[in-house]
Amino acid sequence: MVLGPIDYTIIIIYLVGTVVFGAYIGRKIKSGKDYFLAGRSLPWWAIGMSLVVSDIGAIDMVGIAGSAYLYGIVLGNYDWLGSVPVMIIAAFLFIPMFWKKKVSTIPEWLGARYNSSVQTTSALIWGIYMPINLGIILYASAVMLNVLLDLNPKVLILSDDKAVVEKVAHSTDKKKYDFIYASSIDKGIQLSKDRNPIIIFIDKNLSAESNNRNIFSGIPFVSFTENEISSSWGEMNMNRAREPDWDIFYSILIMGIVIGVYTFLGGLRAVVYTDVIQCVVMLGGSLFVLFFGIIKLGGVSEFVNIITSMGERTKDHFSLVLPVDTKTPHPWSGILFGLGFVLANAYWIGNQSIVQRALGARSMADAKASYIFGALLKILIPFAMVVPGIIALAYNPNIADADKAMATLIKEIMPTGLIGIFFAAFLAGLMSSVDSFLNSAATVWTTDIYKKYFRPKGDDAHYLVVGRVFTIIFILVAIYVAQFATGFESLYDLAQTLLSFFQGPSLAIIILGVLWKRATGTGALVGLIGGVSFSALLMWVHSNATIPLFQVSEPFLYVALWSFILSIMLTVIVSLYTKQEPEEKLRGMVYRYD
Amino acid sequence: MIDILTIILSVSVSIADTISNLFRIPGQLMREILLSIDLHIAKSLFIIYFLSITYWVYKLPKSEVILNDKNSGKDINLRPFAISAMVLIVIIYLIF
Repeated sequence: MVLGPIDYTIIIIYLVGTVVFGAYIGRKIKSGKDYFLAGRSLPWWAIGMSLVVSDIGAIDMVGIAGSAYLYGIVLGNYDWLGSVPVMIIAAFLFIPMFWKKKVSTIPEWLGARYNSSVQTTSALIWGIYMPINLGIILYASAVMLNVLLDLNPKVLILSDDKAVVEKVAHSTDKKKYDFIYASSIDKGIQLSKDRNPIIIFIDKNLSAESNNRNIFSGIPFVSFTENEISSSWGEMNMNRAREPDWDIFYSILIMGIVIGVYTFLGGLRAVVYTDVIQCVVMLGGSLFVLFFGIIKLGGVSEFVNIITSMGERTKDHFSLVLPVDTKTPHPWSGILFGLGFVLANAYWIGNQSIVQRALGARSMADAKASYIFGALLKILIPFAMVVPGIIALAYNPNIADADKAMATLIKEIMPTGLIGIFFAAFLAGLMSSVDSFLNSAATVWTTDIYKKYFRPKGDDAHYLVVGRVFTIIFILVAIYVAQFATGFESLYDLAQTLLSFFQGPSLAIIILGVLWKRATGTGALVGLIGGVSFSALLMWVHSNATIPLFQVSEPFLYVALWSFILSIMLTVIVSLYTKQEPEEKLRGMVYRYD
Repeated sequence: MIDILTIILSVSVSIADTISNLFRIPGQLMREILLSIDLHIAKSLFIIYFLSITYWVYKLPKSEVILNDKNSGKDINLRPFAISAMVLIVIIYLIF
């Protein structure tokens, strides 16, 4: 994506504006309660917008459009099924239970409903997961940022054989570099002048001239034969490349500092109110792309005609419900049972970084209304995020890397200035998810660990200082983790795997805690630990058995579903054999039991 | 040392295979049942799920859906907004 001066101006104004706004909000913060829960003063509309924008990270903005390019409207399930119904249920059933108890975190509510062991176990799970995930999000976002801004170092491959080009590109780290190809020496020279590569790989078969390295004016140069290429070959030869002008670490550092500053100063209030701006920018930018894209294609019916005329490739592109044996990763069974019944509930009801906003609502009415407003906004999201991916397909059906579909579309249809708005929308998505995790991680460690075990009777101003110290520690940890996260795919999988380990069991004990007064602390603890262990067992069996246990390569949805079911069973059985919690403890903690 | 590692590895693969085979029998059965469900029925399940939530919201007592806004002093009825959201979702699933 090529940005002009107007685009850069918009981006700089946006970034500086966000930090200044966060600092302005932060001036009113005097206590831990202000910092973690915005002094319980947040209105429904701000929380609703914050909920929506926090759910959509920068990775999603690019990744969802890329997946929609490949699979179509089925990605809309993640909002229409995975958010709206659950947010309605949460608004009337779960959020009021949490809000009226005046807790700061979900583990704190679990402690009040069950016992201290359940609280600490849950807090440690979230407290360890969130800082690690923070680093991974930061790194993944920096990768996307570099792709969109065309900042990645360039590697030029010269070969007239496309298969050889692919082999070379796959033998090196595809995430860190952009590979550019040329099929002749002349084109290669022109490309090296235009794109300034850090190394050139040249096929010996191409031309005798390839042995003359002077023609590439000092750029490191490796000539090869097809037989030499292996996975270690790429890594070994990349060591000869010259230093790139822009390292991904710079992107990580800049984003970490910007987000860290306003979260440090403003706490949850800054997170939520910057999210409001980010929601407007993100939705505005994405809807611009939607309207521009469709208008330029000639209208909705023309758009649909182009897609449906692509035959077998797009036959399911306008279907939300796909067969169980679909070749896409979105069969209806996994979507309905895994996403709709477990993961979506776990996310909107049990995820600390999401629920914390509603806990900061100024009234019960605001807490409930925020989730309803969020649900209404969520209906729009697939139109803003998924449909542009399909529009990109209509424009250009030959994009090799689907993750570049959105960037390619923007480049093709958006005038200068509007590209800057879309890019600001991308930054908004990035910042909104990182700041949420950062603030929530600091809240959990301060409230459920530090306050509980180290200084139970400190004053509120003391917890403000502690919260800010944790914020600094976690942003530094995130930057540290992020710069070593070059094995991104495995780390991202690790984060998803860890999340699937405890999402199901955590949800199970929250649901039983709210709906069943017979659920006991011992039952919940056994259910939580048993469920997490069962998830680990399933993943271990899946990875180690000769024939994998699940028929999908990334069985997160199924692991979450089965661990949820097992946790429910364990909690119910153990609760029935242990003594019921005292009546006075249960009042106000169980639905319709005041 | 290598022998011990080899033994541990082969034993763990055997254990994983045994557990995997145990789980795979009911898993395969469930998969076959799900495969036999017609796509129209599957879509109906989605819509039944949405309609049941809509009905639940409709049946909630007034005390849970009508709340007093402390700032304006007015009562807000959240039910129409929640039902509208669900109706829109049903329409979307009927279209796609």
